[in-house]
Amino acid sequence: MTSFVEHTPTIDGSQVKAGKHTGLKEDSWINGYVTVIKNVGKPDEQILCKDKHNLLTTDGRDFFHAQVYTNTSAGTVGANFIALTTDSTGADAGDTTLPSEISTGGLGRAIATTITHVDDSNTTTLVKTFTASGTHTAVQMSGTFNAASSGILAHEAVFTAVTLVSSDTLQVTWTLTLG
Amino acid sequence: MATGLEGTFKDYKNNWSCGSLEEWKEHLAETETTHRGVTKCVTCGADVDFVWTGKLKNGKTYPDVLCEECKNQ
Repeated sequence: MTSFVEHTPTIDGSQVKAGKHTGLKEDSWINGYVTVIKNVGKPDEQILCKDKHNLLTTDGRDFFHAQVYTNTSAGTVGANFIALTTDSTGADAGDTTLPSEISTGGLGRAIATTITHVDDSNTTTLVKTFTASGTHTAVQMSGTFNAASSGILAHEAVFTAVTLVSSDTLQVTWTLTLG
Repeated sequence: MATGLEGTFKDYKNNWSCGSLEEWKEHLAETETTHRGVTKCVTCGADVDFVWTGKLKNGKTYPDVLCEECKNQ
């Protein structure tokens, strides 16, 4: 188990402490790294977290085993839907939903627009850029699901809380390894 | 067949692995790899199914690709 505190510089140069999160588990076979950037390519671009290790949920692990080993019929859609929340309770391996998941204002759960795998490797990348259509205060956690609604929460990761106003963008990149 | 790859990120074709995403990005920049999947055309935003082979110099883990229409312009 790994617990850590992330210090992320803000645009005014101060440091933001993201906090200590218990339950983050290292796993040598299924890993995920998350990068979240506000307003990519704009003058006020802000990196909220970079290549931060995520948490694989218990249900997520079961889902991968079912997809790969135990299903006796064709598999389902992969865990390539990305969701966001303002919830501040942190990632937890026991989560089965993303608490207080955002469903409106441009930040609702959506399938990644880039889904790509490197041949002969163990790495896949998912990317989604959300565009806010309203104000969202303290967005700070992301998760991946295998469905547009409900479904199985596979990965969770916390990032530095950020407030978005209409037309702000939030690019979420999950780099995932399996095997 | 690659054996003994112990890093988190593994390239079985080239018998190479590493423990950090930064190193993985460097590897993708130095070694020809094949990426396949779906993405948006970087020019027009259209959906693109792609297979891309090359050295990835954009500092990302995936290529920026163009749709056929934008490629032909």
